[in-house]
Amino acid sequence: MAVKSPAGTAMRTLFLFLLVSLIVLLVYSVLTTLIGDRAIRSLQIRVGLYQGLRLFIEHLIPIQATAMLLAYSLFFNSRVYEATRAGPGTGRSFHGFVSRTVVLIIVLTSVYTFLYTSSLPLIQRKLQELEYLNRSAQSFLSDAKDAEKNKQLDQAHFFYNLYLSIDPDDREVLEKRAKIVEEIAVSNRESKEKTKPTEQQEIEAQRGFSTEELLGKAGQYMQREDYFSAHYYASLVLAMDPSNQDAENIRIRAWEQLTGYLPSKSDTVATELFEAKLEGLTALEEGKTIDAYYQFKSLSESYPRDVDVIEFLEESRRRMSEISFFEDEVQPTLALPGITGITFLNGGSQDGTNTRRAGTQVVYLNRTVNTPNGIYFHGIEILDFSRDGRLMLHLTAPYGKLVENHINMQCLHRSDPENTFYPKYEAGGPGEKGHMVALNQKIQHLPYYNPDRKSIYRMGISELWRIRDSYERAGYDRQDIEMEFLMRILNPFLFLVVSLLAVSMGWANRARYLGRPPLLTYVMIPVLPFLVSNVIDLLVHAHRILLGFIFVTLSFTVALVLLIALQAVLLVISLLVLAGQITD
Amino acid sequence: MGLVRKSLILPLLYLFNFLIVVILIAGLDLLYRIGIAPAEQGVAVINMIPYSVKQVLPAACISALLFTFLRMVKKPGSHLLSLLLLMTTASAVLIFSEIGVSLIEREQPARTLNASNVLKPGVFHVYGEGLLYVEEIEGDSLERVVNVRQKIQYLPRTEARLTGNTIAIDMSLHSEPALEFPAITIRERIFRPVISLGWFLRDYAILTDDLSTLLEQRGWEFYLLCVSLIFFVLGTNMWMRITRWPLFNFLLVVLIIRGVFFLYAYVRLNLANELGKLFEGSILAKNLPSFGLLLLGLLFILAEALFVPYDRLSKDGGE
Repeated sequence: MAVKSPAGTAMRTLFLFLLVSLIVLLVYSVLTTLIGDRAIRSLQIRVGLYQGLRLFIEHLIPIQATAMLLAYSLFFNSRVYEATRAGPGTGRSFHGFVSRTVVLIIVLTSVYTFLYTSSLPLIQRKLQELEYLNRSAQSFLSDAKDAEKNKQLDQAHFFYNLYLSIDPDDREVLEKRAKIVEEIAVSNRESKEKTKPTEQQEIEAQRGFSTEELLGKAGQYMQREDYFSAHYYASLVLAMDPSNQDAENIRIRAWEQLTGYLPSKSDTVATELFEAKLEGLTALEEGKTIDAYYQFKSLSESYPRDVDVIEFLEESRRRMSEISFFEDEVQPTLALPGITGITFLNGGSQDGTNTRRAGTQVVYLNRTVNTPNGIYFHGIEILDFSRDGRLMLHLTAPYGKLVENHINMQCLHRSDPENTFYPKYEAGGPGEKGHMVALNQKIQHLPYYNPDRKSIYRMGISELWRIRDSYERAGYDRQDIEMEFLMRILNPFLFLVVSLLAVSMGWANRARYLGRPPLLTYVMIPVLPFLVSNVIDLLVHAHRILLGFIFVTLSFTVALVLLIALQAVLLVISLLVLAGQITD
Repeated sequence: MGLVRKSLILPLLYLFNFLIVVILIAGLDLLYRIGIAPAEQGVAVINMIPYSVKQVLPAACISALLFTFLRMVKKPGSHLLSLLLLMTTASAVLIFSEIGVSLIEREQPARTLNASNVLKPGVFHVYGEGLLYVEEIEGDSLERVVNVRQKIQYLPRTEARLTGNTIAIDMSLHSEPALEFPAITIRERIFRPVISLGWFLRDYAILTDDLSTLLEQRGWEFYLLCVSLIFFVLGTNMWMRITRWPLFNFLLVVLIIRGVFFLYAYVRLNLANELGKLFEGSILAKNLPSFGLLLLGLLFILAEALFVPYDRLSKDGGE
C-alpha cells in the first residue's frame, strides 16, 4: 500500500483546522451577540460575523501554530512513523516531509500579513460603525419610550422614525409608531375643537365693551386721525347695534379718509412687493445674507412666480450655503453611522508649517457623520485659552457642518427665522467669519482622535506611519502610534517563526500511537489553541519588553532596526531547528 | 546508559536550565524595570539586578524543572532517585538563591511618583471614557487643565494628588468630586501586557511577595512554601506521561501550573484570610496555600506510582 505524504497530511490538517477555527469563532461570535443583546435585530448577525472574523485574524498565530503542532505531532501518517522506527537510516529524511510545508508557511505568512495589516483595520472600522448604529438605535428607542411615557407624542414619533431608519423591520416598533400616529391625529382633532370656543371667547371679550364705550373709542381715534382704528371700532358698534347712526357716520367718514389718499388695491400690492424686494436686495448687498434669505423665502410663498423673487431667493440660498446650513440637512444624519467623542487640539496649521497660535484650542465633536452631502457634526464644544490661562473662547453648538475647512455652526430653519441653532458663547463671541472655526487638522485623521483606545487598531500600517506627526499635533502621544507600529511589524515575522518552530516542536514531540489515537485525544484538541495562545502571549510580551526598552531609552528607529535584526536571527534559528529534526 | 547515571545527570541538567532561564527572564525583567523608571530619576542598574533576579526565581525554578521533565520523559532513569535528586536540587536552589539574593539585595528606593510621571504635558491622557489634557506640569501642580467627558471642563490651574496607585485631580472649581484614575506612568503604558498575561503576572506576583515576606520573617514557613512548591511541580511530572502524545502532555503541565498559580492567589487572598479569622493562630490556616501545594503534589505522585508507568514514553521502554 502506498504511503501517503506527511506533507499532504499536514496541509490537509492545517486547512481543516483553519476552517474549523473560523467556523467555530463565527458561530461563537454570532451566538454571543444574539444572547448578549449587544446589537439590535437587523445588526446582530452582521456584528457577530465581523466579530468572528476579527477574532480569527487576531488569533491566527496561535491557530496556525496549533494546526502545525497537530499536523506534525498527531496527524502525520502512522505508516511513515513505522518506517522511521524500522531502524536508523531506514526512514525518510525529515526535510523531505517538510519542504512543501515550508513553502506553504511562506505563502500563508503573506496572506496573514495582508489580513493583519489591511483587512483587520477595515473590519475594526466596520465594527465601530455597527456599534455606533447599535448605540444610536438603542438611544433613539429609549428616548422614544421616554417621550411616549411623558405624552410628548411628536417627540416619540420623531425618535421612532430615527430608530426605524436603522432597523426598518422591527415590527414591534412599527406597531408602536402606527399607534403614535393615530394618537397624534386624534389629539390634533381634539385641539382644533378646543380652539373654537377660545376664538368665540375673544369676540365675546371684544364685545364686552358697551356700544357707548366702543363709540367713544371710535370718536377718539377719529380725532387722532387714526382712521384704521376708528373704522374698526365703529364697525364693532354697528355689529352690535346696526341702527347706531353715530357709528355709521364715523365709519363713513373714516372710510372716506382711508380711500381718499390710499392708492388702489393693485397699486398697493405692487408697492408692497417692490418695497419688500428692495429690502431683501439691500440686505443681500449689505452682506446680511440670512435676513435676505428669509425675506425672499417669505415673498416666494406669496409671489411664487415673481422672477425677481425666484432669482434673489436662489442667490441668497447660494450665499447661505457658504456660511450656514439647514437643520433639515442635519436631522437625518442622526441615524447614519458616525464617530463619537472626537477630541483634538486645533492649534497647528494644516500645511505642515506647524505655526502654532498664541493659545490652545480644544475641539470636541460629540458625533461626526460623513454623508455624500458633506460632513456634519452633532454636539460641538470649542474651548480656546491663552498661554496665561485666560479663557478666550468657550462655545457650544448643537450642529455643525464642514464648509471649506471650517466648522460652520450656523444652523438655520428653512422657513422659520426664529427657529435657528446658533452657538452659545460662554466666553468670547463670533470671530471674523461669524459662527465658523477653522479646522487645522486633516479631516481624514479626525476619526482617530478620540478616547477610544481601539481607534489605533483601526489604522492600517501605512496610516500608522503617515499619521505620526499629525497625531502629535492633535494632542495625542506619538509613542502610542510608534509602539503600535513596531508591534504591527512584529506579527507577520512572529507568524513565520512560530509556524516553523511549531513544525519542529510538533515533530520532536509527536504522538506515539501506532494506530488511530484514542477518541479522548480528539476531545482534548480544542484545549490546545488556548495553551498555545498563552505561550505566544509570553513570546509577544518578551518582544514588547525588549523593543519598548530600546524605544524609550534610544529611539524608534533603533527599535525598528533591532526588531528586523532580531526576527532575522529568530528565523535562522527556527530554520536550523527545523533542519536539525531527524526521523530516526 | 545506566538508570542511576541517567538520574544523576538530571540535577546538572536542571542547574543548567535554571541558569539559562534566570539569565533570560531576569534580563527581560531588568530591561522592563529600567524601561519604566522615570527618565529624570536615573537608574542604578547594579542595584536593580538582585531585585530582578529575586522576582524571577520561582518562575525560573519551575521552568527549569519543566524543561528537565522533557528529558526525564525520554530518558527516565530511576524513578525514586530522579525525584529525590530533583527535589533536593530544586528546593536547595530556590531556598539558597532566595536567601543569597536577599543578602546582596539593596533596598529599592520607594517609588516616588508625581503628576509629571503619569501625565505628559501637551498630550491628551486617556482615562476610562474621558480625556485629560494638561499644558504644563510642575511636580504636582497642573496648569491649564482640560477635562473632556461628554463636555469640556477647563481649569486654569489645579493640583494632583498621588496616593498609592491612584492619581486624583482636584476639580473643585466645577463643584465636582476629584477626577481619579490609576496612576500608570507614561512609560508603563508601553510595557503593558495583554489582559490574560496580566492576570498571570498578578497571580505570580502574589507568590513572589509571599516568599519575600516569609523570608524576611525568617520562619520555617518560608522553607515550607519553597519545598511545597517544588514538591508540587515535581508531582506534575505524572502528567508528562498521561497520554502517548508528549506535546499535549507538556502543554497540559503548563496549564496545570498556571491553574495552580491562580488557585494559590485565590486561596491566599480569600480562603486563607477567612480561615485565619476563624482559627486564629492555627498553623494550617496560616499556611493553607503551602499545605495545599504539598497535598496536591502528594496526590499526583501517588497517582503516578499507581497508574502511570514511569518509562511509558521513554525511547527504551513503553510501547
